[in-house]
Amino acid sequence: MKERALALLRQAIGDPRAQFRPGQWEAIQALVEGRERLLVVERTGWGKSLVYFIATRLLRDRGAGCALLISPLLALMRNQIAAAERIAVRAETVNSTNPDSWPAVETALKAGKIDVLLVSPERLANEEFMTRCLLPVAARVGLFVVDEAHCISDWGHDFRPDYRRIARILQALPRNLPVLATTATANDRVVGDVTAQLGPRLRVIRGPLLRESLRLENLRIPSQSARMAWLADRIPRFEGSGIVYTLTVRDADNVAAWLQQCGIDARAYHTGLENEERQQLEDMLLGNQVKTLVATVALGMGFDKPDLGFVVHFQRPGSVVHYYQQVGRAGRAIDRAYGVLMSGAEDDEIANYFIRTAFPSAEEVAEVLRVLDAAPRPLKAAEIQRALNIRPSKLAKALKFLEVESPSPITHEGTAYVRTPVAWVMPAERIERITQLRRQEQARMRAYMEAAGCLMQFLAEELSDPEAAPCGKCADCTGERLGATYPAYLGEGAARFLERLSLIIEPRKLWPQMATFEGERGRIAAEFMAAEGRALCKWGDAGFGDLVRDGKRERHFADRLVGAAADLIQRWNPRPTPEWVTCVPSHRHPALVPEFARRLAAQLGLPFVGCVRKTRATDLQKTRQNSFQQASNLENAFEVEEGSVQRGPVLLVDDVVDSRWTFTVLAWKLRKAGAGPVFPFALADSSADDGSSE
Amino acid sequence: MTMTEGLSADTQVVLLLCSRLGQKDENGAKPLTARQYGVLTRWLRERSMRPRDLLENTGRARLAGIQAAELAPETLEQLLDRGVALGIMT
Repeated sequence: MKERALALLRQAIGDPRAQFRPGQWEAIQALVEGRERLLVVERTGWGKSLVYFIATRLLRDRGAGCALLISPLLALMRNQIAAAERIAVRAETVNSTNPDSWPAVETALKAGKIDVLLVSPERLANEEFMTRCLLPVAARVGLFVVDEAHCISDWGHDFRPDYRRIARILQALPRNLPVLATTATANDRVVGDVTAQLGPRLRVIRGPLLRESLRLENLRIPSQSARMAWLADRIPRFEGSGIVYTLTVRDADNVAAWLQQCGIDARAYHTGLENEERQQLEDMLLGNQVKTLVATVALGMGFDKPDLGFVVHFQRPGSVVHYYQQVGRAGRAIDRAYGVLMSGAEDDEIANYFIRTAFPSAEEVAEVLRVLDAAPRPLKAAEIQRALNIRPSKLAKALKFLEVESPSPITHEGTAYVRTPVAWVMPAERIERITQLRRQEQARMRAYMEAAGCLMQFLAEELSDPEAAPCGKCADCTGERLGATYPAYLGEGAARFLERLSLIIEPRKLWPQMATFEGERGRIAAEFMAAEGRALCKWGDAGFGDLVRDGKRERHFADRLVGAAADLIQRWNPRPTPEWVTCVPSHRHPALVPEFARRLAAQLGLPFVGCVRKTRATDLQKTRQNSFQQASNLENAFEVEEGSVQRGPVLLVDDVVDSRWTFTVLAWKLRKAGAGPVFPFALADSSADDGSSE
Repeated sequence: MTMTEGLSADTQVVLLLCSRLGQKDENGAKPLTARQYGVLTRWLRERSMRPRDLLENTGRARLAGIQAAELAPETLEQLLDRGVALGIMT
């Protein structure tokens, strides 16, 4: 059989002298002859797909059914599928976009014309797909393959709860069915976890993870603008094309925009884009038609570009597993590639945010169950949402979380949800255990930033690579460093660029000249002055500016604005940190701003206190042309309910800031009523351009 | 059917051999009738085997030697190979 397998290998890769890499033949043999359960831990590019395609061919030759391959990377498998076709392994995929072809695939499968059925993990969560498509052909599956199997263990971090369902199916499989689980990243903890879930009969085959051409270097550059300047200086000098990883979508957009402004062919890549556009961007990177993608983790597992020249992290990822996975994309088949990890001041804050929000809150879950319990019929997500006033993304997270519990307290009826009779409590212990683990992983990444010896060796040891040794390539081994320096003009440019993204609202220091305001005149006492504030964008700017205008028109600000505002406030990090949120009231649109401020407060985890009332209607501030008119327009227009004012620092929210008088007056009143420092925040700044921005 | 942990290998084999496992496949192997299953258990007993032994390569290899008119070895193998259907259903 080995000869036949070798012939298939040579045929598949089109190289008549090719040999198996260590571990490949052992894996094939164990699957085909031993019907074993395998976990193969090998770096990307080692040839895991060849193992399952050759095993499939050999099993098919012996009359076995097709292989079922569960992989989150179907879109990226075109090259592998071409290799499979060379050894007469025909692969077909069934997914949400091609329900019309399900019957044809089913017929072909039953006729034995398909050798590999490719399915994404998400599909296994879909009831209709399971009963209509998978179940009818399940009896003819002769090999079960799970790609990126570390997701079975890494639940909560990779946001792939669907893998819990895969683990359940794996547990229920009889032992005569060969199973292959593959991953490029698995330390002993992950292997232990996967083994615990897949049973003691699991055999582990693992190879070295070292990447010989990768030059690692760590740079501690706290400020964002400095890191952006570094990127603008360095990226044009890197050979080939590469990836800049950011932790948030907003940063991906910003960094990409900045690099473009510097004349670098950069594009943002994240979950905010349509699948089609993401596919297009991947193709551009594969074809070296773009210098760099600035991507979130959405540019994910298995993206395989052998000649990727650099991977730079703009911020520190949450775990060594993730870091290795991402930096390991560089330099697979070229002699020299760079892997640079930059660490900034905001890293821990962002990582903590992700850890905090990895699970739905007990309250959200309880509310969803309460609504379903009380409903006389199955409810669609939109109906639950109406009953609860919960953000769609939060609801989706809560539903997904509940659905993959076993036994689950909810189930599907078509696209609607029903409460099952399963008694259920929030698995607080499991959540706590996973949260602790995330904190440890975060600590290991901090340790990596500080690592004294060989960087590659540090990563390999963290990943339990038995062959971990000094790499001779990284900044530590060679002493050759790119360094954290950059030209000053780029630093200034990046700082200006960022300033433009978040606009500073300067506090007014004087009452209107030649007049009094509710009896006050001259300088505003420092203790009653507003603190420096921020606006998210310029009124009318493309992007957020448009969203603010739409929101005013539709009397509802989009969730993206809440998220962006929260991001900005986290980056801004006003001190002392606000402890509560209030907002500017309006007679014209009484609900618009309070509703937004409430959602923003919830996102920030702060209480909202509506303690400001408007006592009379005022003219639109933008119709008043000078300070006197603007201020007098507000005279005796607001009342602060002293009883409800909190002592601590407060975030004062409005939709649009123009003359700053509203903020000035309300800050003064809030402080007089006993509030701490008042930090104004507005979605948009409509004040006339003062020349500081182009 | 959500309980997976408790399913023994013996039970798995009985389900593989005797239940439809949600299949409506006209051309697929038909699950054993009670009579056929009776014949199989007798055959297993005579060889001091249990149903779960059919999940092992050695036990499965012995199926080829089955001589009963009611039981075709190929049918039994096809039924035993419905593991993924079992995994999904249970």
